[in-house]
Amino acid sequence: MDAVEPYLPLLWDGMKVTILVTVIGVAVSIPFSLILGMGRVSRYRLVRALCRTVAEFLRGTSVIVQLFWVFYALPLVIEYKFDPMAAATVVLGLNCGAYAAEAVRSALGSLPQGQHDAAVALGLSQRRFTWRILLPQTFPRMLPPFGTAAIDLMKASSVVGFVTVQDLTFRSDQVRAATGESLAVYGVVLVSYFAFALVISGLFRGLERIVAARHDGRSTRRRRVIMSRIGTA
Amino acid sequence: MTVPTEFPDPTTALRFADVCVSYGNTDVLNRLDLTIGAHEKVSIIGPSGSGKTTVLRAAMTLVRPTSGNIEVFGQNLYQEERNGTFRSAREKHVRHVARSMGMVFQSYNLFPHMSVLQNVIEAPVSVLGLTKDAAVDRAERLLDMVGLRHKSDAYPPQLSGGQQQRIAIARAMALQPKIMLFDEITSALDPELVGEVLDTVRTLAEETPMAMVLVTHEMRFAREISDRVAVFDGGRVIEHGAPEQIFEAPSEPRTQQFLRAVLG
Amino acid sequence: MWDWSYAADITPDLLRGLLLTFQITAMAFVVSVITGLVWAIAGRAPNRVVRGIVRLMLEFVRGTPLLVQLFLVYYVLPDYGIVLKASVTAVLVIGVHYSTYVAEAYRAGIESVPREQWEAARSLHLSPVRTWRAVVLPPAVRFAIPPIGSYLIQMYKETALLFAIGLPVLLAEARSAGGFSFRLLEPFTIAGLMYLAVSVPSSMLVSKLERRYDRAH
Repeated sequence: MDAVEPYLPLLWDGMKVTILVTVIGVAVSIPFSLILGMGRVSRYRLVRALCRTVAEFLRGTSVIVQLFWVFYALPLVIEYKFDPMAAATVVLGLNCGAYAAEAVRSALGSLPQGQHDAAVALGLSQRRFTWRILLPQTFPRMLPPFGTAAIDLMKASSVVGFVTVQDLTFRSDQVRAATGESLAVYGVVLVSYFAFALVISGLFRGLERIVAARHDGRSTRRRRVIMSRIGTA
Repeated sequence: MTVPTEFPDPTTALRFADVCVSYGNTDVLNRLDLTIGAHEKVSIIGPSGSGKTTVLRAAMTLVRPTSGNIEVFGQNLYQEERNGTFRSAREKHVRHVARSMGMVFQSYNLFPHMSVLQNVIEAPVSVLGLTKDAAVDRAERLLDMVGLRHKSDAYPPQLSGGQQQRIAIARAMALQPKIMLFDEITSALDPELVGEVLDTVRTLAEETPMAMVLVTHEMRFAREISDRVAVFDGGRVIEHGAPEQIFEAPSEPRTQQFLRAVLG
Repeated sequence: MWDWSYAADITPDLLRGLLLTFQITAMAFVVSVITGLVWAIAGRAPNRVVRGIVRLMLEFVRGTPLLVQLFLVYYVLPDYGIVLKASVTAVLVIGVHYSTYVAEAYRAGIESVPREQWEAARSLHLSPVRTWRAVVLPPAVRFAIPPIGSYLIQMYKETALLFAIGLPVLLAEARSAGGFSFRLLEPFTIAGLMYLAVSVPSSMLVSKLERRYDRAH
């Protein structure tokens, strides 16, 4: 362990990169999964089919394969060399977003049919229905799978070292080569990833609680308003 | 089918003495005393929440009493004598003493991934050690008795509630229990299916000497087949006696209240 | 830009890599299914401490990157005198990593068996062993098959990582083919298509299994 100590700052640099990649990756994957998930339940068959194809395609190969292809093969076709960080975060975001899109799709499908019927009866446009009725009620159900997807993204980020992004895993390999202390190095690295995973799940659980409280608070307020109106009527 | 003489008390099938069962802070059974004779058919009636189902569940070892004693043919169910003293019984003892009892549930609880025949032969083969042929023989006779032998190869989800319940009765009877417990076996059925199940139970009551305890809402049926009716309220028996006495001249006000509400 | 004759040249090598991919996936799958069952049973131990340790180990293995776990085992074991072939290391690490997911699938399957089924078995005086074998495990395993199927597909895709410990799996062959001639478009594209050709139909099959078993009761 003493041999590793002088290299801890280097590992910490790697950790910071991992955190950055994860955060940006999640920032990409959540909107993408929402778009893809909503597309999967669209009224238009073409949109549904297109989104399904895109999702299958993105889920069909692993992150490392997609990363290599985007970073090494694609430039040969379109003659543009991607910035490693950009390529890494986009690929991670799209790949994990494709998986999360499934959870979005099932959350969207969990809304009782009656809600849509009521919206139609009130003459609400599809757009208003989606943003004011559908999403607010189904979003809480998407949070737990988003949390899982964020952790999966963190784990998947371990391969970005192969496209020259110097994350924690990349650094761990360097430090191991330098010190030969495989057990200590990888032990520390695994514990660091685990700690990060715990932080992520704690964050999402906190988010879930906030969203749940807001949901309840709003409906109680509305009920009180309605009750007072009925009382005076 | 006589009761073997190795039982300490062959004349009393079930005895509840001062039995309490609590879930958290609620007392579901409150110092219950109840005795069932070896060949008695007893119906238990009473308002919901009075603890009727819990009586059967405590006997069938699905819930453990917090205090009191339950005896099966004189053998203590939840206590065993070890090194001269009575202590809380181990699982093996409980299962051994409970062996003479069978139970039919409100939601039938047939095994959905097994055929009707497989459901009925399962216990005879794995518990009694019968050969498959002997078990199939016994199963077919029982299915005949409940009128469903032609459904031997069907699977429970394909059958109606009434059919499933009759098969559940056959399944429980396959072990030839000395005591049969029936927990509101018609409450989950559509009205038109209730009759066929009650017919089966009536046959059992008339043709077998085993003790039967029925928790039921079917008052007419209870009156028809019971030797004795016990009225439950607040976790204990508030009165019991012959069916005519209970239904025509109940002495307890709560019983009168209950019967008025149920029978009109 | 796209050289068809070059593509044809490298395809046999890529197919060899694909074969190794299949072999490792199959063996890792067996390891994961058996180890997962061990976790699932251990996770139901009466002792609270045992249950807690099992839960912690499952969370740890499931919550950290497979690549780092691969490196750990690959580099650490020789330090302690255990020398394993790279393929054995791969099978063990991938198998154990995914056994944590499989264990979760088993757990959900067991919990999907209604309490009433346990009670019926008890009322028929079936022994605990018999209750598990005849009443609980059959529906539990059926419930767990679709998610376990999707983990199999995930394992297949993750074998790509094994290039990092020198195994000539599909992705490794693609890299080395490209490396010799610096023509990376064809190898990576064909490799990608080979992965897709297996995983997309497989996941459609798993979806069909999900619907057939109608797990959304």
